[in-house]
Amino acid sequence: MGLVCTLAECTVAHTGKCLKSHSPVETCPNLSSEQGVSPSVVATQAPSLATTRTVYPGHELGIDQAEAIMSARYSHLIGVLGEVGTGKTCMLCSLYLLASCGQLAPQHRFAGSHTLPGYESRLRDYRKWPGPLLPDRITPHTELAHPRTPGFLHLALTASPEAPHVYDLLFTDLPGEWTSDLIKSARWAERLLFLRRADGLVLTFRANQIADKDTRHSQIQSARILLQRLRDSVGLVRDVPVVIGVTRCDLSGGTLPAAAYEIAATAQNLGFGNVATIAIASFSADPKVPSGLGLGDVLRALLTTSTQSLSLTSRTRGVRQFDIYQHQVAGS
Amino acid sequence: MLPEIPDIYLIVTPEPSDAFISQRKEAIKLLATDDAMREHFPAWIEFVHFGLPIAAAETGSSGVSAIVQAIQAQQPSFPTDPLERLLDLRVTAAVSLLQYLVEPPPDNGSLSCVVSAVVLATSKLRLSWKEARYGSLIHRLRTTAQSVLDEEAASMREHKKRPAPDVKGGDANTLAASINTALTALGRAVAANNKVDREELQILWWAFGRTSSRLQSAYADLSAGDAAIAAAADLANLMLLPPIPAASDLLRATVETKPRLSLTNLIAQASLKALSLLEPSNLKVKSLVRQRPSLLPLTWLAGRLIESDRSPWEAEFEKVTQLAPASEHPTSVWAEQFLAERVACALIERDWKEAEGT
Repeated sequence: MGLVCTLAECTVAHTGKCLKSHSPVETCPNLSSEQGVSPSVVATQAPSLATTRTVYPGHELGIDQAEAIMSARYSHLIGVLGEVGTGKTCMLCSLYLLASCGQLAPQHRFAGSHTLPGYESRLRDYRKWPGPLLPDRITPHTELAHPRTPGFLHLALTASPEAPHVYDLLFTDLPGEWTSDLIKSARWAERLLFLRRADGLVLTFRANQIADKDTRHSQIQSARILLQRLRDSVGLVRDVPVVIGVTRCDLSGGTLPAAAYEIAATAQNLGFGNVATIAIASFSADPKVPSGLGLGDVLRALLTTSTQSLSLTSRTRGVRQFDIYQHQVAGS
Repeated sequence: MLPEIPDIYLIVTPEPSDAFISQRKEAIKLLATDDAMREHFPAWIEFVHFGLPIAAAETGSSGVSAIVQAIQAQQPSFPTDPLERLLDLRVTAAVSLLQYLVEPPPDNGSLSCVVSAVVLATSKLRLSWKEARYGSLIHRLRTTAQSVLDEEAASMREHKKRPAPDVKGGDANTLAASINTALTALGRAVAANNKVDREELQILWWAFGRTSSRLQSAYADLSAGDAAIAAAADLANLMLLPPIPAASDLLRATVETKPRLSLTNLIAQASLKALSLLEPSNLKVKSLVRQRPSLLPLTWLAGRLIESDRSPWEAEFEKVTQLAPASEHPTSVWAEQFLAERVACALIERDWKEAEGT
């Protein structure tokens, strides 16, 4: 029985080698072993659901789609972690709205997205809510079609016109249960291994939870365990920028609770060298606090430029000795 | 093979499969050979640093196509259009260069030094990368290139042991041949040691004298532009190449009183006589510099200014090298860049001559 692939560009039928590098080729989910299927028919068939966990194209990207973007141009993969209800998806949607309305200008401007329907569907509740107050939940709870595969939301931003550069940002949109599970047990680290590639990490905490004396200590302890497991079990690189994002800061008048700094100090003690603590209000219920508070700072903290070390002042041992000799000659 | 290849390819895919990694390793094996490197290293270094926009002419020709073909040998379905997997190709090019420098094939002559010198000359002024992980890869390539040159510099300056004459032979002819061989070996060792001693003395005099023999003036009396160029050219001329790590310190000490300034101002202060010190003497090297201005940007600029009698150059320079002429650096940094480019030119020329057997 000949091997036939559902992907039009795959040449497995002729070469026996898989486009997606599966080895052995029989393990490729795109493979069809049907005989007599002409390539043209194969090419027009819809890809099987197993090839991607995205049921509705454009709602989010699976690993395969993310890889297609990443292998063509450098993409900044940003991990967004936090327990259920800490406002991860809200933060991403607010960022999308700010970018698309030009409110990140002049530093950043919207430059497109591969997941526009995804942002729009997540924001549907926000656009429909009745009454003067914000609803309890703006975006629906994130659920994954595939329980072990992460989903990404894409956002492209241009940097300031003086130094034009397009940043392709791939934000993870994971259910809060993934974070809670990792805090409970390190055995859940395996499904987060893709975060070894992360260019930045945002950990979300609710301002009222880390400010409340009844829940503060458990939140700090959970944060410590989470950071420790990200470092030891996931293998997160320690120089990756980490943002402690304190959400719902509209409830605290836009100020950061003191416990946020304790979490940042914990991260630094665990060896993370690039930690920022930022007050966030994705959709503010307080007219004095603007919606989207802190999201520009989050971007700035995440998109740090890699600077190669140039030791302009270091002097080698040889030349120091030469200096001493020269000084002695001059003095004699 | 480099053990960190799977980690490096995280740049391209968050979950590289074993099959993906083994395919890329096989491709890198094909690329990190003497023949492939000798033919393509300038194109690959340019491609790694700048991608396709600057090397657009390369898309259909050998440099990038060689990488595509090496991958297609393992993965025939890999797209032929480089733009589809541009970052994947750039990472593969960078890893191939890195692999070649870390584990050069035996008897590769001085090619790894040449590649290292060109990598350093190309990347010295480009200090920051918006893409953190890719920037780290370039940084790794840079530090590896620097250590290749430093190791070579140290080994060529070690005093050679004079070989004990091993004279044997039953008849006069064999005896004469044996004596001849022994004397030649002894002569070579003495000459090599003399070269090293002479270099030490010359550099010492140069460092104390602080005078340019080419421009016939003390560096202190020269403008910043002339001093930076002349000091770098003089030092590259006096030193055995590759230079010792302290060469850049000596250079800094020579121009330490000069101000921090942009390339525009530096060049405005440089005379044509000084600029001509940067021009490669070898026609093949000259042609390489013209074809790929981004590899040795200041050498290209010197040639361009001499040819055009200093007509406006800033816009063209920025376009072809992607360096901003308005960026300011201390004069010592410009001098170090001039030195890096002089060293690269001299090593390329020497390697080509050796390869041609002249």
